[in-house]
Amino acid sequence: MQMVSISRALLGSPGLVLMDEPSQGLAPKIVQDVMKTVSRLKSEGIAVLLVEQNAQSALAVSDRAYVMDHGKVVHQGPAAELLEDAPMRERLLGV
Amino acid sequence: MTETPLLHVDQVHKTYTQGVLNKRVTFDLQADFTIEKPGIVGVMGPNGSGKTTLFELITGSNNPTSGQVRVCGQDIHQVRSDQRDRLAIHYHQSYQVRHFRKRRPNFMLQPSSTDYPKVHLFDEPQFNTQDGYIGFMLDFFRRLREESRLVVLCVHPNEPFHLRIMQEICESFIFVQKGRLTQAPDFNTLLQNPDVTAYLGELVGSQAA
Repeated sequence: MQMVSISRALLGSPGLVLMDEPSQGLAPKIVQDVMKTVSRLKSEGIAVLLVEQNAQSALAVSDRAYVMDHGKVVHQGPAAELLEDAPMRERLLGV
Repeated sequence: MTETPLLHVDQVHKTYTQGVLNKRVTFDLQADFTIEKPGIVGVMGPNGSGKTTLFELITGSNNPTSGQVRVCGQDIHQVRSDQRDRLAIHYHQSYQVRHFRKRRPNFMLQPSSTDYPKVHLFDEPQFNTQDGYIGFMLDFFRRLREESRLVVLCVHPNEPFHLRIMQEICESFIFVQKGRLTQAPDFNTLLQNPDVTAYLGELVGSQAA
C-alpha cells in the first residue's frame, strides 16, 4: 500500500515528496525497500522530507536530521552525525 | 492428569473465498498448536500472512471455517461474546496513545492482578522512541508473564534494537507465512528458517552490532 502511495505521489513529477511514517506496519524487508526508494528519489534529484519513528533506518538514508519534541525542533544537523553519536542519539531519540 | 493448556489452537482452518457460484479461495489459514504454560511468545510474519486473523480466531471475534480454539480449556467460540475478554484479549495497534506522557490507555491503569484475562495478544505495538515508552511496555509484558499469563507479541522488527528486544523478551516464536505457521522454541532456531531470514532482510546479522 505504501509503495502504491509513493508511486502515486511521483506521478506528478514533484520536486519535493513528504512522507509521513512510510514504514508504519510494514514487514522489515518491505521497509528496507521503501528506504531504498527514498535513496533513489534523492539520487534522481527529488527532495524528500521523511517523518519516521524508526530513527536508525531513517537516519541511514538522510542527509539532514531534525528532532522534534512537543512542537519544537530540539536538534538539527547532519543525519550522519546523529547516527554516529550514540550518546546524543540516546539523549534525543532514546535509542 | 496433565494440566489444561493455556491455549490450544486445535486444527483451525480459516478460509476466505471470493465469488458466489464459482468460489475461489483467496486466503487460507491453518493453525494447530498448543501453548501449555505461561510465557511470552513472539509472532512475526510478512504483511497479509494471517497474524491478525490468527489473533481474531483466538479471541473469538472471527469464526474458524473448521477446528476449535480452547483458552484455559474453554472453546472460545462457545463462550458468551461479552465474557470472551475474560479469557483472551486482543490489543490492536491503535491502543497506543499519542500523548503518552499525559495519558495512558485504560487497560494499563487497571491493576492486572485479577484472574483474567489469561491470554494477552499484542498486535504490532509500536515501539516508539518516546521517553520510557519501550521500557514501560516491556515491564508490562513481563508483569503479565509473572502473573502466569500468556503474552503473544506480534511485532515487525524494523530496527536492530527491535530484534534484540524480541530476542531478549520472547521465550518462543511463531512465524506466519501465507497462512501457515512454524513454531521455533528459541531465537536461534527461528533464524535458521530461510523464510524468516528473507522476511528480516538486511536486519539479519545486524542484531549483533
